[in-house]
Amino acid sequence: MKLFRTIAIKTPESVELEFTLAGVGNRALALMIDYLAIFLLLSLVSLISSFLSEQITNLSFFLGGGADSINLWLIAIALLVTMAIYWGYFVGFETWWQGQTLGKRLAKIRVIKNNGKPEGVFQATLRALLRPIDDILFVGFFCILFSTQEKRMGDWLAGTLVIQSERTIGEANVRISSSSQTLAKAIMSEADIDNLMPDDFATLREYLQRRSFLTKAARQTLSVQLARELKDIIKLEILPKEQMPAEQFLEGVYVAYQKKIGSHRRTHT
Amino acid sequence: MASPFRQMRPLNVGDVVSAGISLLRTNFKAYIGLSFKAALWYLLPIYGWARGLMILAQIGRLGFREITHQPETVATALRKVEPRLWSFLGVAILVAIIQFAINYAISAVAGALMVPLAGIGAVGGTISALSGLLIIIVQLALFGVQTWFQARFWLYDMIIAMEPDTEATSSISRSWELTNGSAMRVLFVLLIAYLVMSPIFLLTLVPFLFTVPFFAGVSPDVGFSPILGTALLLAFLAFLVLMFFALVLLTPFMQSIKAVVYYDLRSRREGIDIRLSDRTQNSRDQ
Repeated sequence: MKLFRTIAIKTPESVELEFTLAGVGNRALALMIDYLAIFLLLSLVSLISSFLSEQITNLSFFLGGGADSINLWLIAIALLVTMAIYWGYFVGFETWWQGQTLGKRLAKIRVIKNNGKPEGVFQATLRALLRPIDDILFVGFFCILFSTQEKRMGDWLAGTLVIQSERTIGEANVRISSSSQTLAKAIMSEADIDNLMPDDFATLREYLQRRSFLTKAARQTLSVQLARELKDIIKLEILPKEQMPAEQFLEGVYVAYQKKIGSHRRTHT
Repeated sequence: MASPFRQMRPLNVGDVVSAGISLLRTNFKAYIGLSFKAALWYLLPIYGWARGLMILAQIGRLGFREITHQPETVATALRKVEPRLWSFLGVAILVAIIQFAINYAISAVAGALMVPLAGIGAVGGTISALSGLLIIIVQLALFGVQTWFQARFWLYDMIIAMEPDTEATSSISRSWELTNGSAMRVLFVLLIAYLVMSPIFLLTLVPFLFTVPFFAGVSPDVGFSPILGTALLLAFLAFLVLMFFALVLLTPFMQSIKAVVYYDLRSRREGIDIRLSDRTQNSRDQ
């Protein structure tokens, strides 16, 4: 079962790019954040304008004129400003940030053209113009839910896709204790570190990165279990030290594998 | 080498909801069938309620097993949850009481804040606009805090269905512990889920649109109009039927999302996705 839809785009250079579509959840999240931001902007504007209109009407009374025609003008201006904020927000952000608004940036999604190129001001405008239609009767929602490419009306018309923006994959932010450096040397000399495959290393790194979020009990059992399995994989008969916390051993294997890869690279170049 | 057996890594908020939708989509018939059964059981008091809640937990269990690549048949899942039939009702009542008490207390605080704000608003002009804005903010905060508590207690039925060793009443504290540090994430999942469900709830109100023309004939001196009364009654009945189907559709949606959240939190807090790939599996791949 595939939980997330993907789409393959062939560029003019015949390079096939695969993207993961944004998904209803991410788009709803982005919309929620964007509308919250617009709501805050509009209420700020209405606060200022209600203050200003009070002053202007007072001034008009003071000058002997009526308030009616001035009020009409003020309402017209307020409507214009509201529209400008509503559309300007989406067009401006999506053009400026290449397909991202505040909400999309936080939800880590992005609008691109059907051919994989960044969205331009033309596409952003079309998407924004159709947004009211998509939103008011939930037309867009049902379109996204039932179309294979997850397009709302605005996306069909503008020829755009909404995809997940690239995630930085685990910037190896692993904190290693200094004692594991010496341990790594011992492991490299006594064990068969070549048996460790990239997949195993990825799992090991995953553990070391996320261990601080784990509950105490889970961290304990998981580290012991991983250490036991890794010890078998790299065919280490005797532990370098008799009594050793499982995590220290895991760190040692991690460093040893990195060193091995490093030395391979050096010999190849 | 990207192994196809690789487990899912922790998900972000939107992905949880999307994954829940795909889960429901792929198992649509099975989940909707179960949800329909649960809805019918609810009509029968006490025993039916326990049975209905159990079937919903069964959907959650099926979802979780599917995500972890160990799918179960509907019958197997039923065998696993059936022994704990009464736990589902008992804990549901307990959680309802706790949440009611919490919500009552929070609303009291919010009310105490809003009354003076409304009083200030009566002055008029810019100040009333400001007080209106502040009242909206207090109401949003009230809703947020209530949903926060809902998020913390939300997983109890998944826990009863998945962890036979956890006592029924400790499932509440276990839900609290699993969501510890992730409460905001679950809260946003709930908010997005509500947002996604809102179109369908709004559709159930459509019958009342058809009563609008009948209001035209009513004037204050005529008093009660029988035509309008009939129209409203019919609209209400149609609304009830639509609501029933909306709930049959949306409860498995929420349960699928709950299954994904449960999986996600167990990966984050207990690392259930951190496993070394199976050696035998790997050698077959090569």
